[in-house]
Amino acid sequence: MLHVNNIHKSYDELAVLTGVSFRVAAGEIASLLGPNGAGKTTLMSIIAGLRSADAGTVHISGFDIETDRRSAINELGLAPQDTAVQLALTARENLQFYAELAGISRKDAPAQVAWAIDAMELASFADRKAQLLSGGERRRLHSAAAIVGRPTLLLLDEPTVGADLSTRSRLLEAVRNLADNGTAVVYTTHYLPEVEELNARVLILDDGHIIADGPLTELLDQHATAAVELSFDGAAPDISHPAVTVVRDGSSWRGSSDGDRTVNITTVAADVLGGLGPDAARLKSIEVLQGSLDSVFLALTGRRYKQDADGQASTENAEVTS
Amino acid sequence: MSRSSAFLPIFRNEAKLVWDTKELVVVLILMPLGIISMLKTTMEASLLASGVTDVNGAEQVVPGQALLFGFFLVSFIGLTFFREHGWGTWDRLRTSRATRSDILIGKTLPWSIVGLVQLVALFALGMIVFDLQVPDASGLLGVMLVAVTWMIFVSAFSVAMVALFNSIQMVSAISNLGAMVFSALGGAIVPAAQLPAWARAIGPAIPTHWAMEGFNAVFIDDKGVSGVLVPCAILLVFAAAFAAIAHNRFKFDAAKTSWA
Repeated sequence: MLHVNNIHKSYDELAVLTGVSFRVAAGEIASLLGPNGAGKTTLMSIIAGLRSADAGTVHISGFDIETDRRSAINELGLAPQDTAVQLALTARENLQFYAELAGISRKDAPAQVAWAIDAMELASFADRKAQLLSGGERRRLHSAAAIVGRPTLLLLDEPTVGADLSTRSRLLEAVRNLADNGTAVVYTTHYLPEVEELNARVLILDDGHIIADGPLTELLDQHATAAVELSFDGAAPDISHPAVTVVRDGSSWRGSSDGDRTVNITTVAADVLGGLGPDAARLKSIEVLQGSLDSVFLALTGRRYKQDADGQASTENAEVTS
Repeated sequence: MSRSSAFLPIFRNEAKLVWDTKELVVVLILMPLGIISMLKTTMEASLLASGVTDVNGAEQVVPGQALLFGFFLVSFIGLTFFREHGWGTWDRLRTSRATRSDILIGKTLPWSIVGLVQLVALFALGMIVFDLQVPDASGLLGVMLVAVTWMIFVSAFSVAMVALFNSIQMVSAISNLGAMVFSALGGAIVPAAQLPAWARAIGPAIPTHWAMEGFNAVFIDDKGVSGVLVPCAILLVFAAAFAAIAHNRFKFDAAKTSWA
């Protein structure tokens, strides 16, 4: 369905993509992860034919996006990163327009529109102009416009940024539904729990290339490490626990499972807290890190994948303890 | 599920957006009517002073104001493109199966039709309300030919301006300034014979001049369709030149600034 082969892209002297290759099959959901500036949006733009690569090829259903653009694009549905809807049209009119633009006849389009309205739960505001919709409602419409044409390849570039929980939930359900019906999906996001919820194949883009590619469960098995982190007022005490590898660094103490999936990190945390004795008075904070994509990212890049309140991700350097 | 072409949805969508702003179209007709009523007598005197006889002023002021206000369509056509950038939907168009022609013609044509409606309405009201002489069949065909070639020129010019400039403010400025300057130098505001020598010398380089030549051939010289052929041909040359600019300079991946 989608074959991305050895894509290179630079802006002036800055190399953004340095040999990205992967394939996504029909019915597969591939989550593209990476910190800000990793090149996710650039890669999505190249796949969609909005930008040209310096080198490499993109084939959609066998059609080269550069040399057979029209055929390749016929297969495509795109939700760009920023909300993109016709503000002067109602939600229903938007969907009718984008369904017809996707090649669905005027006669057949209303049925597709009704499906998209149902899939993204737009019924309560379907006949309201987009300029009168709330941010969350517009975001739903934005995603619905990408799926209304029932594309064979769906590109969703951070579709849930700024979306409320209900919108996220509806979108994830719609994505799963499309994939079940054969659509290949490439989904960029900073929300790691979404990837876990979709049980998607994971592609981690870092420093311009794919550093991990595999099913979520496989990556978790290979790289996920649970850990408990304690921070003290003053030097961290010398505490040990048989189930974890301990690293002390100034005022912080970290016990890591080293990828051992049998370790119950919550129990370790309780044991450690119970054994603190008088040092408990100096304890400033405690954080339990379950074996998750977050810890996979940490294991592979040496950096934490941290989300701020707006959902925009950034990475921070951290010492790898396993 | 059957598949259909991308031109029609784009055209229909733009036509709907035009229809939703129909009050604007009415203004584009009513405003020149107001100015025509104010300037008709002055233009009669101006035409008589130019040596033209048996006129009432409508022969100058109706086509002149129609061309002046017709040029304002440049900013409306520009807005159809810049609006897509403001709404973030331009990339949706680019990643649809619509061709360059589907997008350019589909978005421009509804406003070109509005321009024709505006011209036809102004001439019809000019004949009914302002005693503009009703030409014979040949003359009517001539008027229609000039109107159509003029709108082809305005449409091509508009797309060329979108291609050349990256902000709607710039295209609006070109539209407003162009309407005034082109109309003044082209003999649409006052008869060309009343212009200073330097302006008369520049006139043939201005498309409005040739549109006025065409209308004058019908309403003043009673030449019928034969009198508009050369002006229409020259208008088409202008249109072709700006269409070539639009074709060569329109970058679909260029970033454009709308109102934001």
